[in-house]
Amino acid sequence: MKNFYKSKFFIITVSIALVLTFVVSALAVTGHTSFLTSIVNYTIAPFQRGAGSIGLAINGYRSYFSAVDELKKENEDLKQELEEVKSKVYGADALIEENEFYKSFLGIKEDNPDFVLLDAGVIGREAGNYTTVFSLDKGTKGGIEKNMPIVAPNGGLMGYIADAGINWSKAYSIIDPSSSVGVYVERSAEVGVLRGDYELQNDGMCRIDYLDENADIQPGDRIVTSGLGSIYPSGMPVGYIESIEYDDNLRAKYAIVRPIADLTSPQRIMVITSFQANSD
Amino acid sequence: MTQERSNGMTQKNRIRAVLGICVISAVAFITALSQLSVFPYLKISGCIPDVLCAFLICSSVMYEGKVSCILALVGGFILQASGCGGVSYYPLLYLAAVCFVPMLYRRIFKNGFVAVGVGGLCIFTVEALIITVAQSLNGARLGYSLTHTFIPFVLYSMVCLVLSYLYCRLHRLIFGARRIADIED
Repeated sequence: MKNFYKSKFFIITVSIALVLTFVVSALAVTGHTSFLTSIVNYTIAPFQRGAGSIGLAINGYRSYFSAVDELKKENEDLKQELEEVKSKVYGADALIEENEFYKSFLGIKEDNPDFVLLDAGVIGREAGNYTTVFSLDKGTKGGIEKNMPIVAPNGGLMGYIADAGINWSKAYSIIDPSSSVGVYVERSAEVGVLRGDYELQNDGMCRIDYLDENADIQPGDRIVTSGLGSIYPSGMPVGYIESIEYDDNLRAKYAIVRPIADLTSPQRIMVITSFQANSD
Repeated sequence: MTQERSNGMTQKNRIRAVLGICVISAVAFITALSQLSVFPYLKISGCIPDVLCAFLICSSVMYEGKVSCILALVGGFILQASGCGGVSYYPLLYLAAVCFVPMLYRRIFKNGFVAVGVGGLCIFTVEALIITVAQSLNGARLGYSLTHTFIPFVLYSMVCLVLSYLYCRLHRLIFGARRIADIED
């Protein structure tokens, strides 16, 4: 191998390398392009194009994976933004619902200008399809007291406040067996007492008892409060007669009433804190 | 008969050797193109490794002096010609590399892998120093160049050196290139 380094071939090779390094570099520095450089570039240009496209493809795959972290962060940011927008939308939905709620009670107020109404949210209810006991989010501090009537958005009687604490209250619905409301048939003025019934409770219905044997009532008649007992104002819609039955024990007929108020899933109710009792 | 068989086998080996040289030249050309067009997309810390130098170092241990020198000269010139102007050291550097590493193998280490590793490290260190000095002369802070150019360049090039060595071993298995130990001094 020593002979190789002393050989003509090696000396020529080193000379060429020196020429290439200094002469070509000098030409390049002064802005001139040598003939050999032009030939080399002309020759390898097509191959460089091909290799360049491979490089681009590799770069594409690489940036696909390197962009994952950026995309993850962007995804997290967008998720957070979406949650914020969602909460705004939910808030807007709640406002719309509240607006509808107050609109409906405006009707009640217009029909009964003497009513003083207080809204309360239902925060708990007894498990079951037709709720008989509601827990409300306001109490005596909010102006709610025992025996105040509660009404639904559609104006139908829902029940009354059975118990009230400082910041809570419990209301029984009209289908609760402990409830009793003085009512009369709007068409025929036949009076009776609306009571809850254990058997009818599951169907969301109640009954009117103490009807006269010859009472003029029929299915479809509208039942309203009579105002007797001073808990409920008079003339408040309660429900419609579903059917008329005969009780063998009491030897009297009774009517099954479907309440107007929606007792399935009330969200907000109105408490009538004050009203002018009807003297009639 | 024996002579004829001997001549046939010699001719077969000769064809195989020529084919091997053609293949190694083609691979060297592809490596040079890769360094120019593919590796710019595979920069690490802004560095492009000297893939061609790594390949030439590995192939110099396999092939006799002439083949290595020609490959070094042509490869170095391609890189110089394709550069953006300015002083280029590639032909001289590559020529020095293909002479230095076989010398390490013959005189000191007697082991191809170790000779390639140590020789490659020395060559890449010198090249990285040249780049670092050039950057510093152009205004870059020396500390920054050392951490962002010198070390990444040497490490990246050493990785390419290992891959090139693996290829060259495979090439030798297929084409049966002559080792330097077979060349008489």
